[in-house]
Amino acid sequence: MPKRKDISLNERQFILSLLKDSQRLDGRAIDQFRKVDLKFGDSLGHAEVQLGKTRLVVRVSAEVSKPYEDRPYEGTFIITTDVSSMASPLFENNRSSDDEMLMTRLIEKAIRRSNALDLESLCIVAGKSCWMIRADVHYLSYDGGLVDASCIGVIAALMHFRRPDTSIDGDQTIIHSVEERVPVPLSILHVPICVTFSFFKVDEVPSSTENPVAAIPGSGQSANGVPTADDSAILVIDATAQEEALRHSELTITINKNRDICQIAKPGGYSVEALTILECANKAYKIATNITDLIYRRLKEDESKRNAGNLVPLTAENER
Amino acid sequence: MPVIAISRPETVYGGVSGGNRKLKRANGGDEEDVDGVDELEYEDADSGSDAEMRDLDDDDGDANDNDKRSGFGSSTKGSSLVTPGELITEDTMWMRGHGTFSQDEKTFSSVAGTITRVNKLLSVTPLRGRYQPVIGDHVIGRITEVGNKRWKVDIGGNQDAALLLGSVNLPGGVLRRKSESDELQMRQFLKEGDLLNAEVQALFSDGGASLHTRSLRYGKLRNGMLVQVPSSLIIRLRTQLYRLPGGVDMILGINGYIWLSKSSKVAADVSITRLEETSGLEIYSDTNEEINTSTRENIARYANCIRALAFKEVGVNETRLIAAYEASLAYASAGDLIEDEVKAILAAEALAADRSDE
Amino acid sequence: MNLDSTFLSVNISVSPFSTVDRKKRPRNDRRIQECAMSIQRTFQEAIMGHLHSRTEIVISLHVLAQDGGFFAACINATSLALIDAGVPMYDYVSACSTALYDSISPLLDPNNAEESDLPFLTVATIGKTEKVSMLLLESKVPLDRLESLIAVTISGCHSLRDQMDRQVRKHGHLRITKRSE
Repeated sequence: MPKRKDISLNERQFILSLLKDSQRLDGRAIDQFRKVDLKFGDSLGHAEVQLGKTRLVVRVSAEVSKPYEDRPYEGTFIITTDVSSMASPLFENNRSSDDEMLMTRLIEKAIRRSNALDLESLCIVAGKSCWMIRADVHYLSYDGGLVDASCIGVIAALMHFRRPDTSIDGDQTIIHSVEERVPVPLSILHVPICVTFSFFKVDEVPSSTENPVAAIPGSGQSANGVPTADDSAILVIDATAQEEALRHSELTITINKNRDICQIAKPGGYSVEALTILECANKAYKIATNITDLIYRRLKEDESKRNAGNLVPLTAENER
Repeated sequence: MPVIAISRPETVYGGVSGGNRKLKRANGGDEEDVDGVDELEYEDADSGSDAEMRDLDDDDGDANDNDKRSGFGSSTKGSSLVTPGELITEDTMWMRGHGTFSQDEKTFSSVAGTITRVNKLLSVTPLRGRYQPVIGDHVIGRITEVGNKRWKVDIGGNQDAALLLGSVNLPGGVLRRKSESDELQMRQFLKEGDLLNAEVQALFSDGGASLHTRSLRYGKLRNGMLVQVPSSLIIRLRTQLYRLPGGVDMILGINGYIWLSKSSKVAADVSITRLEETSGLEIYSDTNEEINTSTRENIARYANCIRALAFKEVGVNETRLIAAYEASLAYASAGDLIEDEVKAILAAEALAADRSDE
Repeated sequence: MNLDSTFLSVNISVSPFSTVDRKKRPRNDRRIQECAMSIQRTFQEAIMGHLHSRTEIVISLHVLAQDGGFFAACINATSLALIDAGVPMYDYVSACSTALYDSISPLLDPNNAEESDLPFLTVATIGKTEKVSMLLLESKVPLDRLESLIAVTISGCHSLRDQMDRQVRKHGHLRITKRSE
């Protein structure tokens, strides 16, 4: 979601007219999510996500700190997003545009506010010490869908991460090194997945067959004044950078496998039929289930790779 | 099924029954859409409160709503009120003017205001809003910027108006040629903060205005004070210049800027032939003449009367202002007029003047 | 910046005394910024921006007291202010919020206490349509309750649109009668 990228009129018309015929430049169907490529690094809590040409790295780290005064029983969790010109020249270093602000808010709401990470399990001594978990997102390359990709990256990295075990001896807190005790995984309560939908006005989209001049603006507008195309707004899932620059409004739905919607954001823009939003939510659910399965699959693969030499898999998880 | 009723002081909507509301796709495209919304299966549990809300309404609201929609074409009454998104007419014979937009061949209003019809042109004049310049309007403005061969003038519109160096009278008469040295000493004629009255000469395509002051009636203002009211309170009349009782002159700028000044010795309407002789350097003078205390008091009194009318959103015209002024004489000092109760009394007097007029 | 259209800028300032516990809010609160941006994008579609090109409309919102429906109230206030300013719009933009009580029942226009304990969503519609211009949900709601929540909220928006229209008319009639002829 960078600031407006200027797209030539020809390109614009080409992309829009393709969309009108339900086709996309990269050959996907308009409601097809790009292939998610998820890799884990050597260290724990290092995840790399590739969504089409969008690439990012998430690093999770933990340190002991003091809990907030108003929440003594909870640990702290920070997500930082570093949108730099490394990802795309559209982003400026050290200056966050409105879109970037919205993006950061979205990721924060999707993961932090939805309580994906159980903060209470991060408490060491109430009011005195707790774990502070940081998830740093670094964008390597940008081709749309930053929110969706970062959400997958952050949650996968959190699930991959292991923090050192602690124990309390009198009034002393002992942090056991990795050699001493097997590090413990974070307690993840659910796996939120973001799916972003983009909407395109139909009446601004010239059909590929018609002469664009013949497309009358105003046709396909609704009754009560609002110039909206009823059932005809083109809905596109997981837009690329070009599509993001051309879209008229966006909708991000965060949902998990338990059919809980964690967050919906449609920050203004072109109006969309309420029923369309419901359809979107259902589509998002299907996509979220697939992606969640993928994350679990990848985690398992990674684990078996790590435990390759061991006869009994090492684990600190309690059977609950 | 549980029914939760919330009643909050600010907004009154009552019980909403839970759970089983369903959205239904409005069948797109055809003209039934407007009603299609109402047909949705909201089995309104709050229909009771709906009726309640309707009671709060004064009668003229919804009542004329209906007969306007049906009988618009034949109606001859001038001022009917419409609000944004309201259907004005389905008749295609009308040309759409300002304040309207069309959808499916129907004409809707885009502002809250009154319908105006000129021949086949249908427009809606907003009740409030920024001043929209019209060619020929006598306006009062304030210089905000001195630019290249032009001044920028704040006239209370969407954008500052332009006053070209070529559209002002310079000392030396109408036939004087503008030289390069004039361009360099523009600030000596009019500088930032100066007030002037002018006429709208032309409009640009984006709604901006170009002014001119090529008449003795127009030009720099001095010997008085400016009062600003919403431009909607002032209507266009034959003349905007008034000589009020008490030795006060008033220029009622269409843009809602009103100039009150000491009566000038020269009659307001100097013939165009005398223009040349009188346009000496003093037309750009910055120094006020001697104004005696009673005139000052009167100017202040008129200013407060205008503010009283504006406070109660009463339109300002000569009759009303004089009525308010006469009523204000009951108070010893012009400073007494700033109390809200006094303002209300003055506004009521002004309105009463209309009735006695008729 | 689009030169063919009006540029809207929205400033929201929340007074420190607007909540029960008085506290100084940071100027760049992300939530407020997000709210301002959503308002800007919502109204960019609702106003007829092409009529006032190369113009900026500054919308300043001052929140004096908060008791739920913060976002919705901001949108409704903006709508009325733009109408009062005579800015051409396609229709009223009305917004309303609905909470979900007990994971079953929609609760229209929740107050502060209800908002803090229940998940709620805010919807803005332009005119009396089923079209959602802005939608914001920040807490967990079961997917299957979404439909009823949105439906109730939209009907709330429509009711508010009528209420606003009634007030605009009332004041309009008052103004017309006092106008000079």
